[in-house]
Amino acid sequence: MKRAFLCCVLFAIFSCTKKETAWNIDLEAPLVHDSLTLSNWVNDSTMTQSNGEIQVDLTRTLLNIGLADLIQIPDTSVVQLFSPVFTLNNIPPGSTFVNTIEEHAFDLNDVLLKNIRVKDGRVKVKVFNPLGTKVTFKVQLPGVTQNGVVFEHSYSVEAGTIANPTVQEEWLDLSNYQIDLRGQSGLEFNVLQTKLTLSTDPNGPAISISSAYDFKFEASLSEIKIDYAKGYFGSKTIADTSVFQLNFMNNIVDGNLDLPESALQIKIENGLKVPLRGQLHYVKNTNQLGNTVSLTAPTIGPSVFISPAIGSWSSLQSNFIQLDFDGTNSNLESYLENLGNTNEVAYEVQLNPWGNTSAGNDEVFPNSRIKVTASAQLPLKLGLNGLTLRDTFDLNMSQNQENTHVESGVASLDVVNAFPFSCDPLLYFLNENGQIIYSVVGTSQISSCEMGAFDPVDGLKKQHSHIEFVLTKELVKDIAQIKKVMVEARFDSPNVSTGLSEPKQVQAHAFLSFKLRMKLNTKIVL
Amino acid sequence: MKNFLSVMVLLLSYSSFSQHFLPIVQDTSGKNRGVIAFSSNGDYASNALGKDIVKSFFYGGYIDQEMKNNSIQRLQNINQFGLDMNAELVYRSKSNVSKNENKPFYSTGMIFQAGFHSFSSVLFSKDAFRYVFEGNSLFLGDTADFSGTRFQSLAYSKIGFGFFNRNTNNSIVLNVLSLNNYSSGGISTGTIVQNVQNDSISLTYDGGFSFGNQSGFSKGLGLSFDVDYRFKTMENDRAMTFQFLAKNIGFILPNGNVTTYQADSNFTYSGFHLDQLTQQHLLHTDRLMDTLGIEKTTRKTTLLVPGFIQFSKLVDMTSPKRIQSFYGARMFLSKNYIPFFFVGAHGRVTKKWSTGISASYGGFSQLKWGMYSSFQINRWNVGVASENLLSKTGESIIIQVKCAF
Repeated sequence: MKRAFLCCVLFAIFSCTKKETAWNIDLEAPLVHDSLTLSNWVNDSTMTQSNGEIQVDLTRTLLNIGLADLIQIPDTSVVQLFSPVFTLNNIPPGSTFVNTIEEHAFDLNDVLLKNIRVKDGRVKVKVFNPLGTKVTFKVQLPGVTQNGVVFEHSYSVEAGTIANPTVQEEWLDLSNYQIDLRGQSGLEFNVLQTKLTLSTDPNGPAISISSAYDFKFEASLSEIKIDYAKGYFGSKTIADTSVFQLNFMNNIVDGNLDLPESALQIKIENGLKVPLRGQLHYVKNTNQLGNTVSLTAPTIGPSVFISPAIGSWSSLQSNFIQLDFDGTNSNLESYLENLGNTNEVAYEVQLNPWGNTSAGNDEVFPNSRIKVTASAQLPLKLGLNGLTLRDTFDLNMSQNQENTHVESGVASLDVVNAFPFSCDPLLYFLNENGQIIYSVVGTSQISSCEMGAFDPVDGLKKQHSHIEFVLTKELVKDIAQIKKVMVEARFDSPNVSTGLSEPKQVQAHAFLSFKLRMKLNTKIVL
Repeated sequence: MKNFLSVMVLLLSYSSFSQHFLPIVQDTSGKNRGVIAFSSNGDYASNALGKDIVKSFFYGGYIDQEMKNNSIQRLQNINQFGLDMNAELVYRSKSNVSKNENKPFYSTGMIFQAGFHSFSSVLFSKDAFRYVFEGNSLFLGDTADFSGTRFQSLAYSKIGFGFFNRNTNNSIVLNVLSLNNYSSGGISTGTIVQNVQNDSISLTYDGGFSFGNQSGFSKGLGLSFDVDYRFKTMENDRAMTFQFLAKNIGFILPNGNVTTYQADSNFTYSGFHLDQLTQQHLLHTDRLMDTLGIEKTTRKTTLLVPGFIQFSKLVDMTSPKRIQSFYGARMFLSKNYIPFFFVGAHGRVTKKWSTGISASYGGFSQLKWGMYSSFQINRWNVGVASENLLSKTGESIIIQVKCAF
């Protein structure tokens, strides 16, 4: 009986469990609004306008090197030693010993330098005194001058012993020093000179110096960067394959693009007073489907020679050779219409292709550069025929149906289009396996501006479009299963009369402005 | 367990409504006895909000468009909704404070009482109702006005001690209050303008919201007093008893600071730009509050308890008349409550059964009809009443069980 009563009580309690309180409301709000102009797409290029038409100038620098990339002075230590061959007795205080100039060679492979100017760098000077009295070291680097004054520093070093010489060291700045590397004869290359002068303490005792005494200095050149060099710079070859990606092209999955006459230039510029050889091995691109097109032209393959620059310092003038490609001398149009996302340019440049013909008088100045640039001029007159872009975005949303949640919705897109292209948008919703589980087609297309009228305010032809994307109850309910959204847009450049796609000139100041609004039917659950 | 607790709360809510049992009687049956009385009251009312909607909040259920439409038809520019739930257990001592007839407390007994009170009230604009229950779609090209919307909710427990006079039934009780819940808010000026094209939403607002965010059962302590003062008058040789009743007049000091969100600003939203969407923490709470001009403050405050004052003519149970009238006026100390007037007829059907009807106007509602019955079985008295029987915008139930010993 008790158990039955308990059951009845529990049944009464749990049968009265409060259900959810719920109702539906419609919420509407603007979500995103913006205006896209050509600068949003060609942000790293320049656009020029002529007669209301736009031309995009795409320029990529493939190579840009200067003296620092061609010649590096290695970190070098030179040592100069003074040690008498026999014992000198009773040397009076204040006596001076002058060591001879010593020469030290840099190893610069086939580069033979006569003169350099240090842009940045320093030298560590270290002197050792083994004598039992104070000694003054005068360190000189003959040929290392600044405004005609030779590099020279003196150090008064306290007394030391043979076993433990007193050491003194100092870091000195070498910036803006000219270094004559021709040696004492003036005919050498890559040679650094040093000179050491010793003076005993004028107030000290008379001393004796035997051959066991090593008076020494070390000069360590470190991180030397030069901005001027004269000599023979060797026959160095710089070869590279530049690869640049146009990721935007990855999204093109279908259709084709009809480009008008375009031009491409590859320019090799020589700012060194050195003869130069250039060679373009190949130019090719590969599109999203894996199709590769190589640019073919008579100038691809053979070497070209660029004369040395003329002038000096501020009057330096580069020489260059420009390789032009257009529809008359190459397959440029089909190359560009391949819509390659991966572009490759293989090239090489060589200094002194005929050896040391300048008798060691090559010169490089601070503003000397070797540059390889590629530039293309594309008139924005495009024919789009079902050109389909597709891009995928991650989506990670979930709703608890037990709580307040969205049941369905409509995304409204209002577009003002001043481009002569139409667009049919389509949304695909994918699950975690990449399978399409829902697709939403826009209720209409974004019409080409050719369908619209001229706006006298800005002189642009515009067309307004209203597109709705209906998010059904089923789609919203399964939102947790949707892991990616794939946006597909099919572009055409239709002729208003025929409806057929044909090349259309983009208006100057063309834009596409849009407003995205959401209307959500929401179930409030308490 | 959660369901069980919510069910228990719901059951208690319905079984423990009390306080406004109509009419209050002048009864001498317990003059020389002790009395234990349990009374509970549950009452909600509105001038517009349908009880079908309110029931959906109590019991659960889907609020469909027809239910909304019925309420919308009744909506005025400013509307009221109030909910009063309470339960009290009162013990009146059998013995007097003093047994010495010459002492002033000779015929004075003691009162011990405990109870729970919850009082919530809302004033809301027509647009506020439609915004909440229908959304903003219907306001495109229009202005939604929330000005004048405000609410208050306060729940507390009490325990009290006092004295009563056996001859007059006058009494005074001092209560210690324990705050269980508190929140209040209001929009003095608030509009949302959304253009037809749905390009922008412009908000203008001046308002605030306060709540006690302390944890635990008792979120504050306070004091209140109850006074029951009765006096007799003679009219046409007929004795009439009037009562001045004041209950829960007092204050509560919350344990900690009360948090307030205050804003007096305006804001226009027209969607985001593409580059804004890539920003981190775009909808971070602090950034959102800064953007909307919402200021958060915390401060010590004193809460006035929404006490209750009533002046009424009582029914005299000792009268030989079988039918008597009763009438009175009532006021809650809340800005959202308008004065409440009632009138009714009491009939003694049998020696053990009395019944009556009442009509009332005010409070949170308009005209309401009520009915009650009470039964005297030996030392037990059981009463069931409703002040709001036929209304589409409210309900009321009052239960009282009294035992004299």
